[in-house]
Amino acid sequence: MNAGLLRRLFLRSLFIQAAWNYRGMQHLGLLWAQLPALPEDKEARRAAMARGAEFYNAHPYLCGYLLGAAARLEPQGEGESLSRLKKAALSPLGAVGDRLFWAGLRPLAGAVGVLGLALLAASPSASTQGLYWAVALGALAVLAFNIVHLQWRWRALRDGFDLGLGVAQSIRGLVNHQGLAHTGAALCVLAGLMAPLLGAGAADAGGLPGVLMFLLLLAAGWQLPARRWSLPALLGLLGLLWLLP
Amino acid sequence: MNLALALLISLLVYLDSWPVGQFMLGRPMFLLPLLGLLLGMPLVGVWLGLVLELITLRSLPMGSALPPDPALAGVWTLLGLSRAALAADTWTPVLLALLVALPLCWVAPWLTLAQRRINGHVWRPRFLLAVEAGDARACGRAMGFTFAQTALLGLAASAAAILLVESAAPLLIPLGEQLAHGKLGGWLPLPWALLALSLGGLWRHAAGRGGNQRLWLGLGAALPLAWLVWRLP
Repeated sequence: MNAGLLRRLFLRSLFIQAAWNYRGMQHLGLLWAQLPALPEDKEARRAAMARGAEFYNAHPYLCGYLLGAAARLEPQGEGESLSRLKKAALSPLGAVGDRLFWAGLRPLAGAVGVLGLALLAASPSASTQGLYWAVALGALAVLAFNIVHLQWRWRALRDGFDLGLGVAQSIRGLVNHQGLAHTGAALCVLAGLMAPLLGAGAADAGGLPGVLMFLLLLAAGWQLPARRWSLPALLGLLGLLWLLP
Repeated sequence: MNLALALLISLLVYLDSWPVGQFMLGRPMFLLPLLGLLLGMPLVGVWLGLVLELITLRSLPMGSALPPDPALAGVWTLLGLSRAALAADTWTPVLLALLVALPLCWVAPWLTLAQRRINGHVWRPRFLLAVEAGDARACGRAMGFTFAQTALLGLAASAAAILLVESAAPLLIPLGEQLAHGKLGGWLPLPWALLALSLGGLWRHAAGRGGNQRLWLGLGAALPLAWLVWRLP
């Protein structure tokens, strides 16, 4: 019974952002995901749905903690405690998820795929077989990323369902997760490996001036502030430089 | 390529990008070389995948932020150019693809923005009515409508973008040729310049609070490989 319910909740949790809006953000997705676990009694269900429609926005991969807890607590009539847990857990789930997945694992998987393509682009005698290998490396990176986040999503849902209010401890444990410390270092190593490969390609394309220009732009990229406008602005500047006689 | 198939691919990439799952199936480093291979434009696929992935690797969809969307931009560009039937394996279509795809990276998120506003103004009230009535089925129906409308808007936007790229490509060919072979080539071909800029930004992002220590960690990986690359014939 529980396994079937958890499977349904898990599949629905994949749609957590499907009705994302600027007023309640992911609240409608979370509400829809928890529908199979709502109490039978009409009044209790109405109250549970109202709680489910409260504001919610956290990392989509970590919604399982609260979804599982809701499936455990709502039928037990502990909706008010769930509501308090939800409010307290929003910020940690968002912050940890963003750091772990968006700023850590996702760029790491992307950088592994880019490394394969950089090897291919830098090699003057690249063959179709090389392209197959590069695509396979990219596919492997995407597959590894998916295994990690799907397994995490399932474990979060089970933790929430098994522990109920006690899931707060699991969420607290996430904040000190070791993975957060290592992804940045791994990404630095990958960026370091890409630099000579791409530099060699730039040397082939532009000779010594090409390499110097490559290093100059690498340094400019390092100094570029991480703002939305900064890259388009620099690209525009680069375009203007290219248009000079 | 058949327009229906192109739209289906675009729709899958769009739905994967935020409404469903977020399995990263549309990551440029994987999907664009694969599509390039299938469409007979391997060089375009590789370069588009490499540049778009590296340039947007540190753009993060945190909170309600809408960062540049390289997945949709790359897919629209590649499918549009393949329908325009350009000569495949030269630098001209590569530069043309980059010229088209880079601005599209910043335009594509408008589709997500529009959909999220529609969700707030059109579908959220329906959900709230269902909540007020305690009607789980009505809530399920509202989700079905939301999802169907999201897919329809994604299809319409993809059709418009692909057809626009297809019709604009022949007009942009002279600029692509100029960039590839003419005096605009400069000291360093444009794709390499883009890669250098993006790599510097990625390195900085990865160093984060680790600062100089992580800069040296990256250099520790870079220098032996650079020596190896230099020594190789």
